[in-house]
Amino acid sequence: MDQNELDILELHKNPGKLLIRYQPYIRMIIISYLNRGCGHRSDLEDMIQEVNRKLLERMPRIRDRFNGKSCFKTYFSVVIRNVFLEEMRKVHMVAEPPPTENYLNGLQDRPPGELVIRQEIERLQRAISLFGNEGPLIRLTLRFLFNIELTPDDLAGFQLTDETGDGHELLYALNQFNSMLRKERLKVLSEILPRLGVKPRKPDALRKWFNSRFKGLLQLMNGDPPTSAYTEETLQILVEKWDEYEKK
Amino acid sequence: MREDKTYTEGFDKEGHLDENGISIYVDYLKGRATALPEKIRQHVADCATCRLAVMEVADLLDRVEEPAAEYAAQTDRQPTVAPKRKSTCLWRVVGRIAAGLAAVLVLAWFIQKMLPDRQSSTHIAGKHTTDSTFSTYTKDSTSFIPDTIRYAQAFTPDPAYENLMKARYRGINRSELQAPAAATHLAPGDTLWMHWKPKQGEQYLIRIIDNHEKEVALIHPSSPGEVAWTIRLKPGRYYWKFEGEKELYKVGSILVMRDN
Repeated sequence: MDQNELDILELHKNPGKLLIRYQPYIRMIIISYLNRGCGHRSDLEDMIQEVNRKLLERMPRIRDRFNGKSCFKTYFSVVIRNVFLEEMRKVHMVAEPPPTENYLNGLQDRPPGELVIRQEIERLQRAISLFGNEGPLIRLTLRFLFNIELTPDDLAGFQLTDETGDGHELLYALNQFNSMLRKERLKVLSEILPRLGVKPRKPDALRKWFNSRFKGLLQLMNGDPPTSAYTEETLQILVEKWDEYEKK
Repeated sequence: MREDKTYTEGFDKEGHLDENGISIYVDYLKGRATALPEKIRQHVADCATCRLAVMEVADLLDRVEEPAAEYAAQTDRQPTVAPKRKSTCLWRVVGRIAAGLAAVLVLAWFIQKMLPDRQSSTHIAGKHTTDSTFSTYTKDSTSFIPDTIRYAQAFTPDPAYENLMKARYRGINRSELQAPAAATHLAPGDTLWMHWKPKQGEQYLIRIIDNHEKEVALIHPSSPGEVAWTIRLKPGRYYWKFEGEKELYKVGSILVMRDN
Protein backbone atom coordinates (compact mmCIF):
# COMPACT_ATOMS: atom_id res chain seq x y z
CA MET A 1 0.00 0.00 0.00
CA ASP A 2 1.55 3.32 -0.99
CA GLN A 3 1.50 6.51 1.03
CA ASN A 4 -1.48 7.92 -0.85
CA GLU A 5 -3.56 4.82 -0.14
CA LEU A 6 -2.55 4.96 3.51
CA ASP A 7 -3.60 8.59 3.72
CA ILE A 8 -6.99 7.84 2.20
CA LEU A 9 -7.53 4.88 4.52
CA GLU A 10 -6.70 6.99 7.53
CA LEU A 11 -8.91 9.81 6.26
CA HIS A 12 -11.87 7.46 6.48
CA LYS A 13 -10.93 5.51 9.57
CA ASN A 14 -9.15 8.00 11.78
CA PRO A 15 -9.08 11.57 10.43
CA GLY A 16 -7.78 12.95 13.73
CA LYS A 17 -4.71 10.77 13.49
CA LEU A 18 -4.20 11.83 9.89
CA LEU A 19 -4.30 15.45 10.96
CA ILE A 20 -1.68 14.78 13.63
CA ARG A 21 0.54 13.06 11.09
CA TYR A 22 0.28 16.05 8.78
CA GLN A 23 1.28 18.55 11.48
CA PRO A 24 4.86 19.10 10.21
CA TYR A 25 3.49 19.62 6.71
CA ILE A 26 0.86 22.09 7.88
CA ARG A 27 3.56 23.95 9.78
CA MET A 28 5.80 24.10 6.69
CA ILE A 29 2.99 25.48 4.55
CA ILE A 30 2.16 28.20 7.06
CA ILE A 31 5.83 29.08 7.60
CA SER A 32 6.32 29.33 3.84
CA TYR A 33 3.50 31.86 3.61
CA LEU A 34 4.66 33.84 6.62
CA ASN A 35 8.21 33.91 5.27
CA ARG A 36 6.89 35.50 2.11
CA GLY A 37 5.32 38.33 4.01
CA CYS A 38 1.77 37.00 4.32
CA GLY A 39 1.60 37.80 8.00
CA HIS A 40 4.01 38.22 10.85
CA ARG A 41 6.30 35.42 11.91
CA SER A 42 5.45 35.93 15.53
CA ASP A 43 1.89 34.84 14.69
CA LEU A 44 3.07 31.41 13.60
CA GLU A 45 1.87 29.41 16.59
CA ASP A 46 -1.48 31.19 16.77
CA MET A 47 -1.98 30.67 13.07
CA ILE A 48 -1.13 26.97 13.28
CA GLN A 49 -3.57 26.54 16.13
CA GLU A 50 -6.35 28.33 14.28
CA VAL A 51 -5.76 26.44 11.04
CA ASN A 52 -5.75 23.15 12.92
CA ARG A 53 -8.94 24.02 14.70
CA LYS A 54 -10.69 24.68 11.39
CA LEU A 55 -9.23 21.60 9.73
CA LEU A 56 -10.40 19.42 12.59
CA GLU A 57 -13.90 20.87 12.33
CA ARG A 58 -13.95 20.30 8.59
CA MET A 59 -12.41 16.83 8.41
CA PRO A 60 -15.78 15.14 7.76
CA ARG A 61 -16.45 17.53 4.89
CA ILE A 62 -12.89 17.13 3.58
CA ARG A 63 -13.37 13.37 3.64
CA ASP A 64 -16.71 13.54 1.83
CA ARG A 65 -15.57 15.96 -0.84
CA PHE A 66 -12.27 14.35 -1.78
CA ASN A 67 -12.97 12.48 -5.01
CA GLY A 68 -9.75 10.44 -5.16
CA LYS A 69 -8.81 11.69 -8.63
CA SER A 70 -5.64 13.37 -7.33
CA CYS A 71 -3.07 12.57 -4.64
CA PHE A 72 -4.53 13.15 -1.22
CA LYS A 73 -1.48 15.17 -0.22
CA THR A 74 -2.01 17.58 -3.09
CA TYR A 75 -5.71 17.91 -2.31
CA PHE A 76 -5.01 18.46 1.38
CA SER A 77 -2.40 21.10 0.51
CA VAL A 78 -5.09 23.02 -1.36
CA VAL A 79 -7.41 22.73 1.63
CA ILE A 80 -4.71 23.89 4.07
CA ARG A 81 -3.83 26.76 1.80
CA ASN A 82 -7.48 27.83 1.53
CA VAL A 83 -7.99 27.66 5.30
CA PHE A 84 -4.82 29.67 5.85
CA LEU A 85 -5.83 32.36 3.34
CA GLU A 86 -9.26 32.54 4.94
CA GLU A 87 -7.61 33.14 8.29
CA MET A 88 -5.13 35.60 6.86
CA ARG A 89 -7.86 37.77 5.38
CA LYS A 90 -9.32 38.43 8.79
CA VAL A 91 -8.73 41.91 10.19
CA HIS A 92 -6.00 41.00 12.69
CA MET A 93 -3.75 39.69 9.92
CA VAL A 94 -3.65 42.88 7.88
CA ALA A 95 -0.82 44.59 9.85
CA GLU A 96 2.52 44.72 8.06
CA PRO A 97 5.57 43.16 9.78
CA PRO A 98 8.17 45.61 11.15
CA PRO A 99 10.22 46.98 8.24
CA THR A 100 13.58 46.15 9.90
CA GLU A 101 12.92 42.41 9.83
CA ASN A 102 11.96 42.39 6.14
CA TYR A 103 14.89 44.64 5.30
CA LEU A 104 17.39 42.31 6.91
CA ASN A 105 15.87 39.16 5.49
CA GLY A 106 15.64 40.67 2.04
CA LEU A 107 19.12 42.06 1.64
CA GLN A 108 21.65 39.99 3.48
CA ASP A 109 23.40 37.13 1.73
CA ARG A 110 20.81 36.22 -0.88
CA PRO A 111 21.20 32.74 -2.29
CA PRO A 112 23.22 32.59 -5.49
CA GLY A 113 21.35 34.36 -8.35
CA GLU A 114 21.46 31.38 -10.65
CA LEU A 115 19.39 29.31 -8.25
CA VAL A 116 16.56 31.80 -8.17
CA ILE A 117 16.68 32.58 -11.87
CA ARG A 118 16.45 28.95 -12.85
CA GLN A 119 13.48 28.54 -10.55
CA GLU A 120 11.82 31.63 -12.01
CA ILE A 121 12.35 30.45 -15.57
CA GLU A 122 10.66 27.18 -14.68
CA ARG A 123 7.80 29.14 -13.15
CA LEU A 124 7.52 31.20 -16.31
CA GLN A 125 7.35 28.07 -18.45
CA ARG A 126 4.71 26.67 -16.13
CA ALA A 127 2.72 29.91 -16.30
CA ILE A 128 2.77 29.82 -20.11
CA SER A 129 1.58 26.20 -20.12
CA LEU A 130 -1.48 27.20 -18.09
CA PHE A 131 -2.82 29.06 -21.12
CA GLY A 132 -3.51 25.72 -22.79
CA ASN A 133 -3.57 25.81 -26.59
CA GLU A 134 -2.50 29.44 -26.61
CA GLY A 135 0.72 28.56 -24.79
CA PRO A 136 2.88 27.95 -27.89
CA LEU A 137 1.82 31.23 -29.49
CA ILE A 138 2.42 33.14 -26.25
CA ARG A 139 5.88 31.65 -26.01
CA LEU A 140 6.73 32.43 -29.63
CA THR A 141 5.37 35.97 -29.45
CA LEU A 142 7.14 36.68 -26.16
CA ARG A 143 10.49 35.52 -27.42
CA PHE A 144 10.16 37.12 -30.85
CA LEU A 145 9.06 40.49 -29.51
CA PHE A 146 11.91 40.48 -27.00
CA ASN A 147 14.35 39.66 -29.77
CA ILE A 148 15.40 36.27 -28.36
CA GLU A 149 16.90 33.86 -30.87
CA LEU A 150 14.19 31.38 -31.79
CA THR A 151 14.79 27.64 -31.75
CA PRO A 152 12.80 24.63 -33.00
CA ASP A 153 11.27 24.40 -29.51
CA ASP A 154 9.52 27.68 -30.21
CA LEU A 155 7.57 26.00 -33.02
CA ALA A 156 6.63 22.94 -30.97
CA GLY A 157 2.91 22.76 -30.35
CA PHE A 158 1.94 24.31 -33.69
CA GLN A 159 0.28 22.44 -36.55
CA LEU A 160 2.76 23.52 -39.23
CA THR A 161 1.40 23.63 -42.74
CA ASP A 162 2.94 21.66 -45.63
CA GLU A 163 4.33 24.91 -47.00
CA THR A 164 6.17 25.50 -43.73
CA GLY A 165 7.60 22.01 -43.58
CA ASP A 166 9.72 21.47 -40.50
CA GLY A 167 9.94 25.20 -39.85
CA HIS A 168 13.71 25.66 -40.18
CA GLU A 169 13.42 28.11 -43.02
CA LEU A 170 10.78 30.07 -41.14
CA LEU A 171 12.93 30.17 -38.00
CA TYR A 172 15.89 31.36 -40.01
CA ALA A 173 13.84 34.15 -41.57
CA LEU A 174 12.46 35.24 -38.19
CA ASN A 175 15.89 35.24 -36.61
CA GLN A 176 17.25 37.36 -39.43
CA PHE A 177 14.61 40.01 -38.92
CA ASN A 178 16.53 42.78 -37.29
CA SER A 179 14.06 45.58 -36.72
CA MET A 180 13.61 46.31 -33.03
CA LEU A 181 10.31 48.10 -33.47
CA ARG A 182 7.54 46.16 -31.82
CA LYS A 183 5.05 47.35 -34.39
CA GLU A 184 7.09 45.85 -37.22
CA ARG A 185 7.70 42.62 -35.36
CA LEU A 186 4.01 42.25 -34.72
CA LYS A 187 3.34 42.78 -38.40
CA VAL A 188 5.75 40.00 -39.35
CA LEU A 189 4.24 37.65 -36.79
CA SER A 190 0.71 38.30 -37.95
CA GLU A 191 1.81 37.45 -41.52
CA ILE A 192 3.23 34.06 -40.56
CA LEU A 193 0.35 32.93 -38.35
CA PRO A 194 -1.39 30.99 -41.11
CA ARG A 195 1.83 29.05 -41.74
CA LEU A 196 1.71 27.92 -38.13
CA GLY A 197 -1.82 26.64 -38.48
CA VAL A 198 -3.10 29.52 -36.30
CA LYS A 199 -6.19 31.60 -37.08
CA PRO A 200 -5.03 34.78 -38.87
CA ARG A 201 -5.03 38.02 -36.92
CA LYS A 202 -4.28 41.55 -37.96
CA PRO A 203 -1.28 43.18 -36.26
CA ASP A 204 -3.47 45.33 -34.04
CA ALA A 205 -5.58 42.38 -32.93
CA LEU A 206 -2.40 40.42 -32.25
CA ARG A 207 -1.06 43.30 -30.19
CA LYS A 208 -4.23 43.46 -28.08
CA TRP A 209 -4.29 39.72 -27.65
CA PHE A 210 -0.65 39.62 -26.59
CA ASN A 211 -1.01 42.54 -24.18
CA SER A 212 -3.86 40.76 -22.44
CA ARG A 213 -1.93 37.48 -22.20
CA PHE A 214 1.20 39.27 -21.05
CA LYS A 215 -0.78 40.91 -18.28
CA GLY A 216 -2.01 37.45 -17.30
CA LEU A 217 1.59 36.18 -17.25
CA LEU A 218 2.65 39.01 -14.99
CA GLN A 219 -0.19 38.22 -12.64
CA LEU A 220 0.83 34.56 -12.48
CA MET A 221 4.49 35.35 -11.92
CA ASN A 222 3.66 37.85 -9.19
CA GLY A 223 1.33 35.44 -7.42
CA ASP A 224 -1.70 35.78 -5.22
CA PRO A 225 -1.03 36.87 -2.54
CA PRO A 226 1.67 38.77 -4.42
CA THR A 227 5.21 37.79 -3.58
CA SER A 228 6.99 39.28 -6.57
CA ALA A 229 6.77 42.55 -8.44
CA TYR A 230 7.53 41.73 -12.03
CA THR A 231 7.01 44.45 -14.60
CA GLU A 232 7.33 44.24 -18.34
CA GLU A 233 10.96 45.31 -18.11
CA THR A 234 11.94 42.79 -15.45
CA LEU A 235 10.02 39.99 -17.14
CA GLN A 236 11.90 40.79 -20.33
CA ILE A 237 15.16 40.37 -18.42
CA LEU A 238 13.94 36.99 -17.22
CA VAL A 239 13.06 35.96 -20.78
CA GLU A 240 16.59 36.94 -21.85
CA LYS A 241 17.96 34.79 -19.02
CA TRP A 242 15.76 31.98 -20.34
CA ASP A 243 17.68 32.17 -23.57
CA GLU A 244 21.04 31.90 -21.74
CA TYR A 245 19.72 29.07 -19.60
CA GLU A 246 18.62 27.07 -22.65
CA LYS A 247 21.98 27.50 -24.29
CA LYS A 248 23.83 25.95 -21.30
CA MET B 1 -39.07 26.72 -12.30
CA ARG B 2 -35.44 27.29 -11.47
CA GLU B 3 -33.03 25.22 -13.46
CA ASP B 4 -30.77 22.98 -11.32
CA LYS B 5 -27.11 23.25 -12.07
CA THR B 6 -25.49 19.90 -12.54
CA TYR B 7 -22.42 19.37 -10.41
CA THR B 8 -19.39 18.89 -12.61
CA GLU B 9 -16.54 17.07 -10.96
CA GLY B 10 -13.67 19.40 -10.20
CA PHE B 11 -15.81 22.55 -10.39
CA ASP B 12 -17.69 24.54 -7.79
CA LYS B 13 -21.11 26.15 -8.07
CA GLU B 14 -19.69 29.26 -9.71
CA GLY B 15 -18.03 27.20 -12.39
CA HIS B 16 -14.48 27.66 -11.09
CA LEU B 17 -12.15 24.86 -10.11
CA ASP B 18 -12.81 23.50 -6.66
CA GLU B 19 -10.17 21.87 -4.44
CA ASN B 20 -10.39 18.63 -6.40
CA GLY B 21 -10.02 20.41 -9.72
CA ILE B 22 -7.03 22.45 -8.59
CA SER B 23 -5.28 19.41 -7.16
CA ILE B 24 -5.90 17.39 -10.36
CA TYR B 25 -4.21 20.12 -12.41
CA VAL B 26 -1.35 20.53 -9.95
CA ASP B 27 -0.72 16.77 -9.92
CA TYR B 28 -0.49 16.96 -13.71
CA LEU B 29 2.00 19.86 -13.54
CA LYS B 30 4.10 18.01 -10.99
CA GLY B 31 4.20 14.88 -13.12
CA ARG B 32 2.12 12.78 -10.72
CA ALA B 33 -0.64 12.35 -13.28
CA THR B 34 -0.12 11.69 -16.98
CA ALA B 35 -3.50 12.92 -18.15
CA LEU B 36 -5.48 16.06 -17.53
CA PRO B 37 -9.25 16.25 -18.16
CA GLU B 38 -9.80 18.48 -21.17
CA LYS B 39 -12.57 20.38 -19.43
CA ILE B 40 -10.23 21.38 -16.62
CA ARG B 41 -7.39 22.25 -18.99
CA GLN B 42 -9.66 24.43 -21.11
CA HIS B 43 -11.19 26.17 -18.12
CA VAL B 44 -7.77 27.09 -16.72
CA ALA B 45 -6.70 28.35 -20.14
CA ASP B 46 -9.75 30.66 -20.15
CA CYS B 47 -10.00 31.67 -16.48
CA ALA B 48 -7.47 34.04 -14.89
CA THR B 49 -8.68 33.28 -11.35
CA CYS B 50 -8.21 29.54 -11.68
CA ARG B 51 -4.87 29.96 -13.45
CA LEU B 52 -3.68 31.99 -10.49
CA ALA B 53 -4.91 29.40 -8.01
CA VAL B 54 -3.23 26.51 -9.85
CA MET B 55 0.04 28.41 -10.22
CA GLU B 56 0.02 29.39 -6.58
CA VAL B 57 -0.59 25.86 -5.30
CA ALA B 58 2.12 24.49 -7.62
CA ASP B 59 4.54 27.12 -6.28
CA LEU B 60 3.54 26.24 -2.72
CA LEU B 61 4.27 22.56 -3.25
CA ASP B 62 7.64 23.44 -4.80
CA ARG B 63 8.45 25.28 -1.60
CA VAL B 64 7.35 22.74 0.96
CA GLU B 65 7.74 19.30 -0.52
CA GLU B 66 10.86 17.35 0.29
CA PRO B 67 12.77 15.67 -2.54
CA ALA B 68 12.11 11.93 -2.23
CA ALA B 69 14.77 10.08 -0.20
CA GLU B 70 17.54 12.52 -0.96
CA TYR B 71 18.32 13.85 2.47
CA ALA B 72 17.35 12.35 5.78
CA ALA B 73 16.20 14.81 8.43
CA GLN B 74 19.08 15.06 10.84
CA THR B 75 18.00 16.12 14.27
CA ASP B 76 19.76 13.38 16.22
CA ARG B 77 22.69 14.21 18.40
CA GLN B 78 26.16 13.08 17.30
CA PRO B 79 27.48 10.45 17.76
CA THR B 80 24.38 8.24 17.40
CA VAL B 81 23.77 5.01 19.23
CA ALA B 82 23.03 1.96 17.07
CA PRO B 83 19.62 0.35 17.75
CA LYS B 84 19.58 -3.01 19.49
CA ARG B 85 19.24 -5.97 17.15
CA LYS B 86 17.45 -9.22 17.80
CA SER B 87 19.67 -12.24 18.20
CA THR B 88 19.95 -14.35 15.09
CA CYS B 89 21.86 -17.23 13.61
CA LEU B 90 25.62 -16.72 13.94
CA TRP B 91 26.38 -17.62 10.34
CA ARG B 92 23.84 -15.11 9.11
CA VAL B 93 25.48 -12.46 11.26
CA VAL B 94 28.93 -13.32 9.91
CA GLY B 95 27.59 -13.38 6.37
CA ARG B 96 25.96 -10.00 6.75
CA ILE B 97 29.09 -8.48 8.26
CA ALA B 98 31.21 -9.84 5.44
CA ALA B 99 28.79 -8.56 2.82
CA GLY B 100 28.61 -5.18 4.52
CA LEU B 101 32.38 -4.92 4.75
CA ALA B 102 32.78 -5.82 1.10
CA ALA B 103 30.22 -3.18 0.13
CA VAL B 104 31.97 -0.55 2.24
CA LEU B 105 35.34 -1.37 0.72
CA VAL B 106 33.99 -1.16 -2.80
CA LEU B 107 32.22 2.09 -2.02
CA ALA B 108 35.33 3.56 -0.39
CA TRP B 109 37.42 2.64 -3.44
CA PHE B 110 34.81 4.20 -5.71
CA ILE B 111 34.60 7.40 -3.67
CA GLN B 112 38.38 7.64 -3.58
CA LYS B 113 38.41 7.53 -7.36
CA MET B 114 35.74 10.19 -7.63
CA LEU B 115 37.05 12.68 -5.06
CA PRO B 116 39.58 15.29 -6.20
CA ASP B 117 43.02 15.24 -4.62
CA ARG B 118 42.79 17.02 -1.29
CA GLN B 119 46.22 18.53 -1.80
CA SER B 120 44.84 20.60 -4.65
CA SER B 121 41.97 21.98 -2.55
CA THR B 122 41.96 25.71 -2.10
CA HIS B 123 40.74 25.28 1.45
CA ILE B 124 43.74 25.47 3.73
CA ALA B 125 43.58 23.85 7.13
CA GLY B 126 44.93 25.36 10.28
CA LYS B 127 44.25 29.08 9.78
CA HIS B 128 42.47 31.31 12.25
CA THR B 129 38.94 32.32 11.38
CA THR B 130 39.81 36.00 11.18
CA ASP B 131 42.00 35.25 8.15
CA SER B 132 38.86 34.20 6.25
CA THR B 133 40.10 30.75 5.38
CA PHE B 134 38.49 27.58 6.52
CA SER B 135 39.50 24.11 7.40
CA THR B 136 37.25 21.50 5.85
CA TYR B 137 37.56 18.62 3.51
CA THR B 138 35.25 19.27 0.65
CA LYS B 139 34.57 18.18 -2.88
CA ASP B 140 34.82 20.68 -5.68
CA SER B 141 32.10 23.11 -4.77
CA THR B 142 32.16 25.15 -7.98
CA SER B 143 29.28 23.24 -9.50
CA PHE B 144 26.14 22.26 -7.64
CA ILE B 145 22.61 21.56 -8.62
CA PRO B 146 20.55 24.76 -8.41
CA ASP B 147 17.94 24.73 -5.71
CA THR B 148 14.35 25.89 -5.55
CA ILE B 149 13.02 28.95 -3.82
CA ARG B 150 12.11 26.70 -0.91
CA TYR B 151 15.79 26.01 -0.44
CA ALA B 152 16.47 29.69 -0.91
CA GLN B 153 14.34 30.34 2.16
CA ALA B 154 16.46 27.88 4.12
CA PHE B 155 19.40 30.22 3.54
CA THR B 156 17.80 33.32 4.97
CA PRO B 157 20.09 34.76 7.66
CA ASP B 158 18.83 34.91 11.21
CA PRO B 159 19.41 38.48 12.43
CA ALA B 160 20.11 37.46 16.04
CA TYR B 161 22.79 34.96 15.08
CA GLU B 162 24.28 37.27 12.48
CA ASN B 163 24.79 39.74 15.32
CA LEU B 164 26.29 37.06 17.52
CA MET B 165 28.77 36.27 14.77
CA LYS B 166 30.00 39.85 14.74
CA ALA B 167 30.40 40.05 18.51
CA ARG B 168 33.81 39.98 20.17
CA TYR B 169 34.34 37.18 22.65
CA ARG B 170 36.63 37.35 25.61
CA GLY B 171 38.00 33.82 25.55
CA ILE B 172 38.45 33.32 21.80
CA ASN B 173 42.10 34.34 21.50
CA ARG B 174 43.19 32.04 24.31
CA SER B 175 41.49 29.06 22.69
CA GLU B 176 43.18 29.66 19.29
CA LEU B 177 40.13 28.27 17.55
CA GLN B 178 40.46 27.22 13.92
CA ALA B 179 37.07 26.78 12.31
CA PRO B 180 35.24 27.49 9.05
CA ALA B 181 35.05 31.13 8.05
CA ALA B 182 31.63 32.75 7.91
CA ALA B 183 29.23 31.19 5.40
CA THR B 184 31.58 28.45 4.28
CA HIS B 185 30.00 26.26 1.60
CA LEU B 186 29.78 22.59 2.48
CA ALA B 187 27.84 19.62 1.17
CA PRO B 188 26.30 16.63 2.92
CA GLY B 189 29.09 14.15 3.51
CA ASP B 190 31.73 16.84 3.98
CA THR B 191 33.54 17.08 7.29
CA LEU B 192 33.14 20.05 9.57
CA TRP B 193 36.52 20.34 11.23
CA MET B 194 37.41 22.48 14.20
CA HIS B 195 40.58 22.63 16.21
CA TRP B 196 41.50 24.57 19.33
CA LYS B 197 43.90 24.69 22.20
CA PRO B 198 41.97 23.08 25.05
CA LYS B 199 41.98 24.63 28.48
CA GLN B 200 42.43 22.22 31.33
CA GLY B 201 39.18 21.34 33.03
CA GLU B 202 37.01 22.99 30.36
CA GLN B 203 34.14 21.00 28.82
CA TYR B 204 33.74 22.05 25.20
CA LEU B 205 30.81 21.44 22.92
CA ILE B 206 29.53 22.69 19.58
CA ARG B 207 25.88 23.40 18.91
CA ILE B 208 24.52 23.51 15.38
CA ILE B 209 21.49 25.79 15.00
CA ASP B 210 19.36 26.22 11.88
CA ASN B 211 18.18 29.61 10.57
CA HIS B 212 14.97 29.30 12.55
CA GLU B 213 17.00 29.18 15.77
CA LYS B 214 16.31 25.51 16.27
CA GLU B 215 19.13 23.35 17.60
CA VAL B 216 19.69 20.50 15.16
CA ALA B 217 22.86 18.92 16.52
CA LEU B 218 25.00 18.89 19.63
CA ILE B 219 28.60 17.79 19.10
CA HIS B 220 30.78 16.60 21.96
CA PRO B 221 34.43 16.42 20.92
CA SER B 222 35.71 12.85 20.93
CA SER B 223 39.32 14.00 21.33
CA PRO B 224 40.65 17.03 23.21
CA GLY B 225 40.89 20.13 21.06
CA GLU B 226 39.40 18.72 17.91
CA VAL B 227 36.12 17.90 16.25
CA ALA B 228 35.65 16.28 12.84
CA TRP B 229 31.94 15.98 12.24
CA THR B 230 30.36 14.56 9.10
CA ILE B 231 27.65 16.85 7.78
CA ARG B 232 24.24 15.21 7.53
CA LEU B 233 22.16 18.35 7.35
CA LYS B 234 19.50 19.43 4.91
CA PRO B 235 20.56 22.29 2.61
CA GLY B 236 20.40 25.64 4.33
CA ARG B 237 22.19 28.15 6.49
CA TYR B 238 23.35 26.91 9.89
CA TYR B 239 25.12 28.54 12.79
CA TRP B 240 27.64 26.84 15.02
CA LYS B 241 28.27 27.89 18.61
CA PHE B 242 31.56 26.92 20.19
CA GLU B 243 30.93 26.80 23.92
CA GLY B 244 32.57 25.90 27.14
CA GLU B 245 30.81 24.94 30.32
CA LYS B 246 30.13 28.54 31.25
CA GLU B 247 31.38 30.53 28.30
CA LEU B 248 30.44 31.12 24.69
CA TYR B 249 33.66 31.43 22.71
CA LYS B 250 32.56 31.96 19.16
CA VAL B 251 29.62 31.83 16.75
CA GLY B 252 30.03 31.12 13.06
CA SER B 253 27.96 29.99 10.12
CA ILE B 254 28.07 27.43 7.35
CA LEU B 255 25.99 26.99 4.22
CA VAL B 256 25.11 23.40 3.43
CA MET B 257 24.52 23.14 -0.30
CA ARG B 258 23.05 20.29 -2.30
CA ASP B 259 25.54 17.67 -3.33
CA ASN B 260 26.30 17.03 -7.04
